[in-house]
Amino acid sequence: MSCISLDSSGPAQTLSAIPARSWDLINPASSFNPYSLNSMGDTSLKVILCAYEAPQLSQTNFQPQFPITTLSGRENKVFDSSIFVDTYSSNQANGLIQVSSSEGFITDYSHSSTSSSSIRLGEWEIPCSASSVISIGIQDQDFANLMMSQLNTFVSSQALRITNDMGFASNPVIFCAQMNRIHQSATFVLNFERTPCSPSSMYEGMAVKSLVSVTSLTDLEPGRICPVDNSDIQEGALVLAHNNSSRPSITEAKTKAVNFALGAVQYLQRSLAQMGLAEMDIPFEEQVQVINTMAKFQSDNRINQALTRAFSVSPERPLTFTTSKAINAIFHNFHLQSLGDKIFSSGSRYMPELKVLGDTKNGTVNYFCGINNNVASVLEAQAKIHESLDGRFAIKPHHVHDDSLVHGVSLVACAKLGIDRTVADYLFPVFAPHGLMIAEKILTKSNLYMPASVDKQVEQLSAAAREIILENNPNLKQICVTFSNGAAVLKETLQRMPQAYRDTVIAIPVGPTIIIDKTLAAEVYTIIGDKDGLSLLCNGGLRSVMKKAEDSYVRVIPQKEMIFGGHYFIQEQYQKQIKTVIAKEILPKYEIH
Amino acid sequence: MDSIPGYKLIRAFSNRINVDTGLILSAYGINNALQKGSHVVNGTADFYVSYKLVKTRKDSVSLEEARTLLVNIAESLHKEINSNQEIRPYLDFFPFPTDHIVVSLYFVDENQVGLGSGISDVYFSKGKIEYERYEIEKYTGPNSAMGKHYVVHEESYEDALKKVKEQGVIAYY
Repeated sequence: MSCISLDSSGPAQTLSAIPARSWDLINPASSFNPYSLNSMGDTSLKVILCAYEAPQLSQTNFQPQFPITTLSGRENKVFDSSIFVDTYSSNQANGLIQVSSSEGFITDYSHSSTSSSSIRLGEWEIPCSASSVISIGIQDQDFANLMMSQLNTFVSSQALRITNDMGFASNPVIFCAQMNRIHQSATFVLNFERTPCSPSSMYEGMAVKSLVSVTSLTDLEPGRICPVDNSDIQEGALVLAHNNSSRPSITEAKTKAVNFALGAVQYLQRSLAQMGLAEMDIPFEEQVQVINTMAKFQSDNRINQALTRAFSVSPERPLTFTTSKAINAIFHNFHLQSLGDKIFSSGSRYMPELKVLGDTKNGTVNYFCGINNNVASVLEAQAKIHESLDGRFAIKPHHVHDDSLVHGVSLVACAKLGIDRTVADYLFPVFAPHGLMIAEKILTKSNLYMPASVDKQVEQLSAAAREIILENNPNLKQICVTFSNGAAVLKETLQRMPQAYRDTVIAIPVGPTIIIDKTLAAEVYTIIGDKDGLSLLCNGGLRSVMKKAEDSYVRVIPQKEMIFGGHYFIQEQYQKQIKTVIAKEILPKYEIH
Repeated sequence: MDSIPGYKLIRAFSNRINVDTGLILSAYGINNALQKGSHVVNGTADFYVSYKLVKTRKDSVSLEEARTLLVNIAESLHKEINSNQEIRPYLDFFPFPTDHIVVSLYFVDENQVGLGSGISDVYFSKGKIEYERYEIEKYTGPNSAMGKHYVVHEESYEDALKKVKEQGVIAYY
């Protein structure tokens, strides 16, 4: 279990009560922290990040020892606490994060039972072994660096690993920490990102982030858990929106870390003031109408619902700043800046989420598409593999590449250079020749560059892995078929997953641009065409493939076509081999999840 | 790729039998049956070959025909492996046993769709042979169909070899 606490109500008690194997990220009493309690007094901010090792979760009668104030029990909502941490755990957290402000804004916590794989958090039941995502928006560079450094200290002290450390380059800073912890192997994966918006558009980023935060808090998918009361956050944000002057004065420390909700509201207010709409009183019915109208035009239901909920207030207290222009501005910013994937460290929906084809009763085969794939191509491949497997298994497509060839090639190159996908997606718009991108857009009508969240894949495969582990059937596996650079995405996904999760995965890379080491999964069956020029080129030829794959599981497909002709997924030889591998080599040994 | 001894042998063998049998190599590999964690000793622990035989849609392959073809291919490959001097230093076992050879055959029509009558697939691995039929529900296009494969017969390689020998149809390519 882990927690982040922003609490000034008793740090010493909190720290002293943490069991021996727990850890503190920022110890106000010992670390040099300009924003610590010691230097700031009672109203200052302190951040305590602590975690209990997994074995402790399985102890009976485990009770938290630190003071807890229930969110629902508090009377004063505090949103000026300088830092806003939103926590959303997918259905897996055995680590969880708690947030509190100086007034005791802390979530209720108790451990439900031992063997169980769940933790009781307020009214939510959180299944154990999991991934918690901490998103913290910090306005100040120094403060961000401080946080970063202390996170680093913690991570190294726990012999955990950090992936994808981009560091902090400029304001504003948003970093997302994703924590994957499973039963006995604590893995802490940090995923640092910063908003792509410039400092001048800081509040835009914050506004979007805030909305996304609200979205994540309100539109929880089944099994998704949020330890913070949604309505409180929304209401608190709205209260601030309404009455900015009611904010109590905040300390210098607090000014350095502006909470997302506040940032969003400030941005809204500023934007509306510029439009001369700040004081306009819009009737409640009209607000609803505007929101409903907008909902019809927007495909992203998460944002719609977030907006709807964020702006839905009682008729007795209509908002003054809700206008169609304001909502439009939010949508515009969200889509224009492509912030969806940048700020979601988990569960991004920016790349279209495609439906599963077939009956999942007999199991599901995951398919990771290659580069230069639009939705139609992915669906075609999905149908083909479904047919090749006699319709026996459901096929879940993972649309992990867009249909931009320029973008795709750059991703392949980055993967070969060992640059992970998130970073590659950041680098692309910076280094790609814009003329080439525009030419491609004009000539091919391809979609504009769309990033994809590897974390989403991690989350999805991890969710399946947890279900498999809970089944306690070592022969139950999840199958991932990849084509081309889909192998690179799967490889990166596997690298971010704990070993126990990897062991639930059977990979079938077809025409891969990168070889998935067999240690990264329970089994790896590589299928490659001997005239699949692109795949061979990326891997340095067939001999190199053999060497990289350590003599294992490489099936060579004789081909007549050269280069591009040999590199397409739906060809019969590849399909036949996939079917043979699954039917004759996997099924006799394993069951498919 | 022919610099990999196992691949070279398979391709040479496949080219040769293609003349007599019409079988087209569709996939091959070495060390495909290695258990996780185990390693090759000299470089080649097993061989895997998959062939397709193109027929017409109205053709049918009987179980006896499929058995004979598979046994003949497996025996020929077995003989080739053990008689080839070039591959010998790379073999993990000598003489190389047949249960380290995997042979897969499938029969397709002129549009590369599996045959809907008779045997469509034969799979030999670890001393066991499986014969499959392909029950086609419908042809979904010129090159595609929806249907189900299911095993109609299983037997040990020894039994199959014995039957083929008894019938006097054993042949080495």
